[in-house]
Amino acid sequence: MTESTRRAVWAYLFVSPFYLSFLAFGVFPIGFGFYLAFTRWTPDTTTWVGLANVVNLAQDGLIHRALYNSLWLMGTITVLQMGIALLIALALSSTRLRGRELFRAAFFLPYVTSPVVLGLLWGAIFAYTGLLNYALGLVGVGPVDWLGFVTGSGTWIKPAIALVTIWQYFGWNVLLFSAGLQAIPREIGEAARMDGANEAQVLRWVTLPLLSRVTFFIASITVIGSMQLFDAPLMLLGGVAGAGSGTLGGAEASGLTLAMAIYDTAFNYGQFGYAAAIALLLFGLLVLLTTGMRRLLFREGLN
Amino acid sequence: MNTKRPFSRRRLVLGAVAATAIGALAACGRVAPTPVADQANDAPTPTAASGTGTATAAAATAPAARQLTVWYFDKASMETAIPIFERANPDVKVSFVLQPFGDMSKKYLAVLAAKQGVPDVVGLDTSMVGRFLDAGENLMVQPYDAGRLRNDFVAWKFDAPITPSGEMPAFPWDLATGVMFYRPDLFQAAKLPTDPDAVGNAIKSWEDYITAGIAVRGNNGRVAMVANEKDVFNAAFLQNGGNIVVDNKIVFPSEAAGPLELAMRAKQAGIGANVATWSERWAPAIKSGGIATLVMGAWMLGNLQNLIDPAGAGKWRIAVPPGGAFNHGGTYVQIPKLAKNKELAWAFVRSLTATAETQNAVFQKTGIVPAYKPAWDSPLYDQPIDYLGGQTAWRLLTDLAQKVKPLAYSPVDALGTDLLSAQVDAAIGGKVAPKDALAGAAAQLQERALRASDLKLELEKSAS
Repeated sequence: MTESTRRAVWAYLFVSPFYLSFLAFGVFPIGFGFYLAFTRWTPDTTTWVGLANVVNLAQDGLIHRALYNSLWLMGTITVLQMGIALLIALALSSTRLRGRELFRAAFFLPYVTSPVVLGLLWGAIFAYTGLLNYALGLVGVGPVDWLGFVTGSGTWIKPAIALVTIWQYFGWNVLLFSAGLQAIPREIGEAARMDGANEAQVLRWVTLPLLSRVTFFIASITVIGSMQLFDAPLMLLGGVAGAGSGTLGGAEASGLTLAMAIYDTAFNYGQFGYAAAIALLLFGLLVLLTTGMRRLLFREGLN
Repeated sequence: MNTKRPFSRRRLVLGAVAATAIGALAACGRVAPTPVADQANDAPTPTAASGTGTATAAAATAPAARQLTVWYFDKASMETAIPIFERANPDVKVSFVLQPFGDMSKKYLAVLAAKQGVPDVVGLDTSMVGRFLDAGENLMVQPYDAGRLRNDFVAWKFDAPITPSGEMPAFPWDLATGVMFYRPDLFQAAKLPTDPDAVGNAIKSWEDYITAGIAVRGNNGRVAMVANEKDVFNAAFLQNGGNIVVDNKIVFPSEAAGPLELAMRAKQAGIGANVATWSERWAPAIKSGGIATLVMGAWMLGNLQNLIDPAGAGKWRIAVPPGGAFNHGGTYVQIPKLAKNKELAWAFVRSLTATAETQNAVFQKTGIVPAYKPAWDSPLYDQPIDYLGGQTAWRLLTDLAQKVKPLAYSPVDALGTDLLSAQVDAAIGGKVAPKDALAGAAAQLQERALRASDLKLELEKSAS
């Protein structure tokens, strides 16, 4: 064995703990998930069924519903959360603001809070006799059945889920936007102003284009995160809050996201093959969405 | 809008968390009958003795210490039953894994999928049995030969998990007899009878129940007969069997049609408090005397006593439910096909479910009423129940349990129940016509069973 081969062997040996565990707990489950998507699973047997699950997915009304809900939540959350976060980040970047770190910490707090605690908290807020309806009552607005437990109507479930999610994650986006803003050299804005640009023009033609990489990153994680939304609907509609079983997304299936459909299909109804096929669908959608977004954002950006 | 799963004891757990924000194990709190002084009365019957006898003999021949893993969601009952088995089988160590009710079927599915870490015995709630019909050993064949124990058990409970092809993948344990809990003080105020027998005679049908409900509501309207109309639906549906699918045919539209119509009439009559079962307003409404009856499984006794209305001791009674007997929950035990120690598991299952000694020790500890009939010979079942003002109600439960209509479990029970429940909510909420609701749920189940499981289910003639 030559010296270089021996060195290579040692190197591989030293990096192997990560790669072995990654193979076992990363690559294998992903690969197995792909395989499962083309099978039908019962506690007794696993049968290869080819594309049957995919064909069924295309015709499954409940999956259409989940897809619609997920896209609705993704759109609403991405736009509102990023919009709010960008405005706050711009406000925080103002040199005249005092106590900036305090604000940042306060906005960031929900992000590091346990989902179970958030579920209990928001469950109490959204309950029919809860805090939010009490507050609305004070200004003369009748009780709203946010989670659909009392009237069986799912109208307000998605807005409620979106509200919780935005509240939980906007602080994280503020942090990212702030970092992005700090990375933009002050001189570029000053040069533009000397050329006669007003603040709005500086924002539109200098700041935002220079933020596009950060924006793409934030948009990607927000789209991926909101398409995979699971804990917020589960906590609000079942489990912890208590009034519903959470299965099938509450009243009128309004809170059924794709991730919840995967979970219900696999762990409540025992259909692992079909659940893997839904996961495959979600995976494909996320690939499409992120590549599409990349094109859209960088068309007029720096690239 | 309220219980999504009429059969399940999981509701109990969720409700417990909602009501008290404490751990889920408290939810299984049941009411123990007062201990009898003379334990000799509680000796195993001949049948039961032969059951344990076999187990002991089998154990005596085995040289080395043996291991058995048991999963269940109620601690008190297993911790009572296991020492009895271990005493009779000194070479066996039973390791009990407490699985929270809500996680049980998920974890079981996961180990079945992985084909690793499968326990030797699993206790399943009625609502879970259908999903695992494929997973259990067929107990009808050798070496189990469960059929010879059939006469010792309540017939419908024994027969329900038997598949159309005659396999028996789960074995009966306890009953969850449906009863009507009622408040005599509120009945008296409405000039209704208050004695349990008289109440049972006066409120025989659901029509009687609605009429009594109007009386209870009275002029001021402060007291409601029932928390919500969905409870009426659930009880009446279970009285019809509460079946989702029988022999690959979707049967719930016909079994649920009458109950849904009944729930709509109850809504028109205004006898409901409009409080969803297990919601945050439910326990306070019960505790404050705003709800006069609960038509649910007898396990509700433990919830009332320990969680919902501890101060209401003496205020509640139990009567025969309107519309007759029904079953609302209960447990089966399963020996997984992938279990490692099947014969030992079967010895444990028999010791657990088919001996008066174990069953009555568990009954004394928890108030779980066994489906094993010889156990009922014990005078334990004549004991008064303090919480019910000294009413001797256990015999009522065992009598009612034998009048439940035959029923069957299917792999799509959980899915069908969820779909049906959502549509029933919509119908009661006035969003969809009752007939369309049931036909809609049936069509959804048919489609989804086909899509996700390639299970071709037929619709009933009348419903399609």
